[in-house]
Amino acid sequence: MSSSPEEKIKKLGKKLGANLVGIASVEDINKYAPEGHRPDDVLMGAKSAIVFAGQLTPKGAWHSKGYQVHHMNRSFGIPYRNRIAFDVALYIEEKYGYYAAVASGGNISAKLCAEMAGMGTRSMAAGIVLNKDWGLLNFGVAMTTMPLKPDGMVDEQVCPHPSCVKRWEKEGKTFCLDACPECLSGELEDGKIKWMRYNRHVCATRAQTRSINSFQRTLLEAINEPDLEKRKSIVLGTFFGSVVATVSTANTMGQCGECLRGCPITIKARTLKPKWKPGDPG
Amino acid sequence: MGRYISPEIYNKYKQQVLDMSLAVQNYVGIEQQRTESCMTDAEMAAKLGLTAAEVREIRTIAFNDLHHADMWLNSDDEKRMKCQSYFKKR
Ligand code: SF4
Ligand code: SF4
Repeated sequence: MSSSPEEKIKKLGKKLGANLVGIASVEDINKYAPEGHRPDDVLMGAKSAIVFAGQLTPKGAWHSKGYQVHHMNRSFGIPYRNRIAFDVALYIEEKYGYYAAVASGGNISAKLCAEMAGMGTRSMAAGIVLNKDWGLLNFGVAMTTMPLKPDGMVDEQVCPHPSCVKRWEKEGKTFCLDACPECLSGELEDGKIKWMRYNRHVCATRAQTRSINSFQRTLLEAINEPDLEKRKSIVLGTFFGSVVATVSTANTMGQCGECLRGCPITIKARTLKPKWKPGDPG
Repeated sequence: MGRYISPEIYNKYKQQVLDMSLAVQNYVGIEQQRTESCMTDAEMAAKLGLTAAEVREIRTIAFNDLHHADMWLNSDDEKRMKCQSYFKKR
């Protein structure tokens, strides 16, 4: 039996490197997205958003005591996920004759598209979308005027995990709130998130320690520094050097995930069981 | 608006723009609240009597202006401490 366009598109996305591929209808997205940030604001007549999700890093990166290993191993970065979205967009245009385009940063919310494509639900950790099997994922999005059958939202909230509910009832904490009180606050009630707050402006200095923002801010610091020797130390020092290196390689996102290190959903997602032992055939 | 935002306009509106932007995000349940914060530039502009381009400029500058450069520099230590504390507790 020949497969449907939805199946073919998902198969291609996975073949190109996505761990999950989901489809959301633009009609669903537009119920939440503000004007100016809707898929059909970017691609006129857009009907569907295809979301490509990838696990953040090889699982081993979470098993390092070096916090920066996690960033160095981010494996589903923006250029990579956009490449998948580009290739699928071109496939849709060629094979089905519908317009398609990649949604680039800031235009539309990839998180919202992922929620609407059934890839997970918002969590206490910064409102990020957590998937019950994969934990935290990175998302790339392609939009198309092709009317595809959407996957729809998942029925059950992924966060909070039952062990977070237990800890909340005992200590008034969850693992993520405990790890990053500077950025995260909230409450659980009846096993669900009652409210939550995310200080993105603080998180940005950690999740994007080396970024265009820190480049601009440090540069301004150097320009304003009247002492020439101090100015030299800012510009030629290791921190600014590493910022320049990171910006020049576009490796600027996701430099922190400490709130999720103790998250039970993430722990389950990053736990491996050996499938081979010494002496077994290869 | 000229090419650059005037310091008077910037200083007058930067706090309001930050408060209304995505800098702080509030959720009831898992639904993002967009009446006080998390607004788009166009929505903020309509409230403040500015153009969306002016708001975008103020927001972009204010976001980088909010914290001292040391915040970025010191954040490596913050992350190192969080990571170490996780492995210590295990
Ligand atoms: S990513 Fe880092 S800074 Fe941001 S909320 Fe999580 S622990 Fe805090
Ligand atoms: S630790 Fe994970 S599951 Fe628990 S509340 Fe935080 S994000 Fe949700």
